[in-house]
Amino acid sequence: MDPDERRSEGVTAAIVDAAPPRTLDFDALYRDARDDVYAYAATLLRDRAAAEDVAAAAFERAYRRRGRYDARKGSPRAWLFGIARNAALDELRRRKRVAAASLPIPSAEPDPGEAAELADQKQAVRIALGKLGARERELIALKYHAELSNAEIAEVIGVSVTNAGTLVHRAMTKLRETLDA
Amino acid sequence: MPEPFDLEALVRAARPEPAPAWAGKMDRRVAERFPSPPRWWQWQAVRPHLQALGAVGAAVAVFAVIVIAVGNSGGGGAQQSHFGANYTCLKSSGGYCTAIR
Repeated sequence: MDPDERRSEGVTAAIVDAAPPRTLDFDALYRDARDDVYAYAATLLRDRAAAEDVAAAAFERAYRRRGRYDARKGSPRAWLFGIARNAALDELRRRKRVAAASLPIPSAEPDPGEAAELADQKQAVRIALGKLGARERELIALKYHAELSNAEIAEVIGVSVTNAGTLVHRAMTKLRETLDA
Repeated sequence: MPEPFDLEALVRAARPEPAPAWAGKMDRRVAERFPSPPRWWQWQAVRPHLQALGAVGAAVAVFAVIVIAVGNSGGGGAQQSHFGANYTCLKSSGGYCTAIR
């Protein structure tokens, strides 16, 4: 084998090693994203029971469709959140919860060690989130509750990466204005 | 009012967390690979529609009885219209009625 051929083979092997796996490790994805998917659904739907149903449905759908995942089209998390988003929007449509979406989500059990001031601030944020529109809550949940990158958010909601960043920034500005009001 | 960084941190801190009971149930379902619901659940899904299914079945049965009864009676005496004219079919002759004016 001549040196050029050997070098070419080495480069090919390196590319294959660097490429993301085509198959989906569902268990790893579930462990990584269980609480994030729940948080996303709970923030969007403002209903804990509905969020549990939607998150469960999303993981079940993802499991049944895991063979269709294509790594070339995006990250496993973006793919999963796309499924979760469809399930959440189905739920919103089914229950017509848009009108009731301003109801504040029940506050979490207070952490005994948590300072009262921090607990108050967190509750104020939850209430302010409840006053935003579903679209803005969704963007904030994807960014700060699910910790998706702008590229992943863009993939989930079907906009450009730049647009996703702008939309998240606007949603945070609106949240700040709601808190200040 | 919170600074930009503080607001992001607060939003992260205000993230809803799942109930441990739900998380445990999900872990079990994933470990079991989302088992199919038992047969009684499928029966529960069909049961609300039983009345409608029964009504459709009864309608089909009545229609079938009428079709059979008409077929057996030979269709004599029925009013027929052919190119706008009314004929009274008194008796069958082959595949046609004999028209008597």
